[in-house]
Amino acid sequence: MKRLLPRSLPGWILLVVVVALTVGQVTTLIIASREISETSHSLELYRLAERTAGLVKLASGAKPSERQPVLSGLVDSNLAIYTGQQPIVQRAIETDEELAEFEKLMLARLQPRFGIRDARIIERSSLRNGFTSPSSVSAASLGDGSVAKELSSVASDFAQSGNYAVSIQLQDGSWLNFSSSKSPEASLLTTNSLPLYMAVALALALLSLWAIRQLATPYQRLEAAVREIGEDLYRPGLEESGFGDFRAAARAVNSMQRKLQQYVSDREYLAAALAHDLRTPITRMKLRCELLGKARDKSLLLADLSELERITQSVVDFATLNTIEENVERIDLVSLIDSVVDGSPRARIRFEQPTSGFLVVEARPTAVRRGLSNLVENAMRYADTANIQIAESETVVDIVVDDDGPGIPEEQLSNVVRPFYRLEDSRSRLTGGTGLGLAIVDEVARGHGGSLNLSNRTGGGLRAVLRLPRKSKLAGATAA
Amino acid sequence: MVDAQPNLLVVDDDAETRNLVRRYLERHSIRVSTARDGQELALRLKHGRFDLVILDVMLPGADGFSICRDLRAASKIPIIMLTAMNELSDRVVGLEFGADDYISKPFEPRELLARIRAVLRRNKIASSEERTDSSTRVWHFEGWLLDVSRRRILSPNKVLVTLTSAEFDLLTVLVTNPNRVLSREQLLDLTQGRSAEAFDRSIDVLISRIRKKLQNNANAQELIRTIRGTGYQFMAKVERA
Repeated sequence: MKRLLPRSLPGWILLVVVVALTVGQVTTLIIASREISETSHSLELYRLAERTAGLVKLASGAKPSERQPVLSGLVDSNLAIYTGQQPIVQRAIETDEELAEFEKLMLARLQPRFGIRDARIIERSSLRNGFTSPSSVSAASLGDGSVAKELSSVASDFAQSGNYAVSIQLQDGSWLNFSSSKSPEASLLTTNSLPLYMAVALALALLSLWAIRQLATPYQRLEAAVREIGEDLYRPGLEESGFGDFRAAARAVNSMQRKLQQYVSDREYLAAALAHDLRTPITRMKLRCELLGKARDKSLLLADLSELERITQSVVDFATLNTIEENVERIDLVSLIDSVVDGSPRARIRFEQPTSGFLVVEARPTAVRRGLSNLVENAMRYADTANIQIAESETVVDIVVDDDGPGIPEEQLSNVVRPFYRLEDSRSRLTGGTGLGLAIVDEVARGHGGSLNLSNRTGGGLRAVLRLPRKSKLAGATAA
Repeated sequence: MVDAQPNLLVVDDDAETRNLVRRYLERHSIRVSTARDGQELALRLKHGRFDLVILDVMLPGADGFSICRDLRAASKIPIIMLTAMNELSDRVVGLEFGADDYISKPFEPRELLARIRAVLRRNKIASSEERTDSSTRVWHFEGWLLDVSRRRILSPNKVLVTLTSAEFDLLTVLVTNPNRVLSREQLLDLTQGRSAEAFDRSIDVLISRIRKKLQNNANAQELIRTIRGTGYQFMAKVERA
């Protein structure tokens, strides 16, 4: 059931409009046809009363022997008259209250003037119409013209619409019998009007569809814009035009985007300032160390300096990771991983190279390099040896780094990619680190539409899988 | 190379850094003058002859890039730029403005020394022959593209292949000296200083690694030929971009 319901807002609005439209139309039709049928019924009875009065007047004025010839002149396809000693309406139990009242009314009206004794009226459906008029016009005899066709259609309607049979007992005891056709019921829904109704309904539905589209488009733009901000913070802002509500929403989104940009540029600025301010003292300290000659602890001092430099670098890396504009290029992962591994102690890390050929992904070279370096560095920091493998599928490439270190407690696996997160473990404190290494890898992966997946290996140690899509969805994917 | 002591000019706005660099380099038999900005640099150049300028990017007043460009327009004096930490764009701009090399701050003093020596040596070799136009930094061979400024190499089907610094430097030397047999000593000489790796990695290992990375692309032709008992020769036809 849920499957049949629309999922989008425009879909819902359209559904509501169509349902409301249909219900409204049908209700209106039902009410209107009831009105019309009631009105025409009253008219019918009025006509019957007038006709009865007229015929009684005519019959009463004529001698009994002349009645039939006089009245015959009035006979037509809708009216059959027969005078005689018998009524055609046998007095039966009158079921129709309305007609009983009508009989009383006729009696009350005509008795004083013409002295009629009885009035009987029944309604007969066309099927029981045994009393066919002698001069009933056959449809075919009217010919073929368009007026003729219309007439014949009306005539057949009349023939089928049933009639009223009336028997009036005149003053002299003889009966005036006549049957008068009822007017055919006017129907609102006919084969002629149905297409018109459908056309109007269709036009309205199409109009609503168009209007809903017009209404929904700005919101779809809004949705797209917010999604794009997640991918590219520096996309052009939304146009603040259109409906009031939408303008307000667009303004809010634009202001949010500006604040985010401000925030990011602040972060970038802070990192740049930090890097700039630190590089001078670090440079000086390194020079001083070299000038110390063969001083005690010199190598330890140099190691501390390198660590300081590395930490500074990773802070700068993290802060500027997604703000540095770097084109997406087709890069060979094999030579890239090889170069990254080349900077590490070779005895401790093994890269299982594919036998031949490039392994190409579309990515930002420097960013991916940073991610890979951090991944390798992380393994080298906590483990004695590590092994790198590549697994490729049609759409993604997985770079799998297995180490033989202590791994990460299961409950903390999801936390270690958070910036500045440190494991509450004496070992990790001893081995140092900024708490940014895996955060940088994660950021790089997500920035490329990939992922970083960490798990503990069954034999001990950590398995880190950096997944990169082969085809980049980032802008400038085909930059040379 | 039993020349007189090389004479260097160090331009940095931090007095203490200038002082320390001078002391360090003097300890390694290099004469050093210092300048704190572009103006002082111009003054020093007017009154003395220098073999090399070490130029910091971040300077008060005119920045290192514009000074580098002006300097290059006026003379052929070798320039080593001191760039911001790991700023790729700084390096590229510096090299495109005519710097001979760059080293990012904070640097290892030994690496600075090695680079200085390498640039001086390269400059000597080049000036003894015909000095290459320093603006030519992109080379083509066998469909490959070697961009020295940006330190990139693209395969014939435009795939970015990553070389380590040592590999890149060695390949650059080979590409810029095509069809010339270069001995291991020469290669070491020409590449030394670009990276610490080159000290402890033998040329042979680097050559085999380069071969492997370049021939990944089923480029059957032997680009780098081993000349037995001598060294290596770069066989492809090289064109400047």
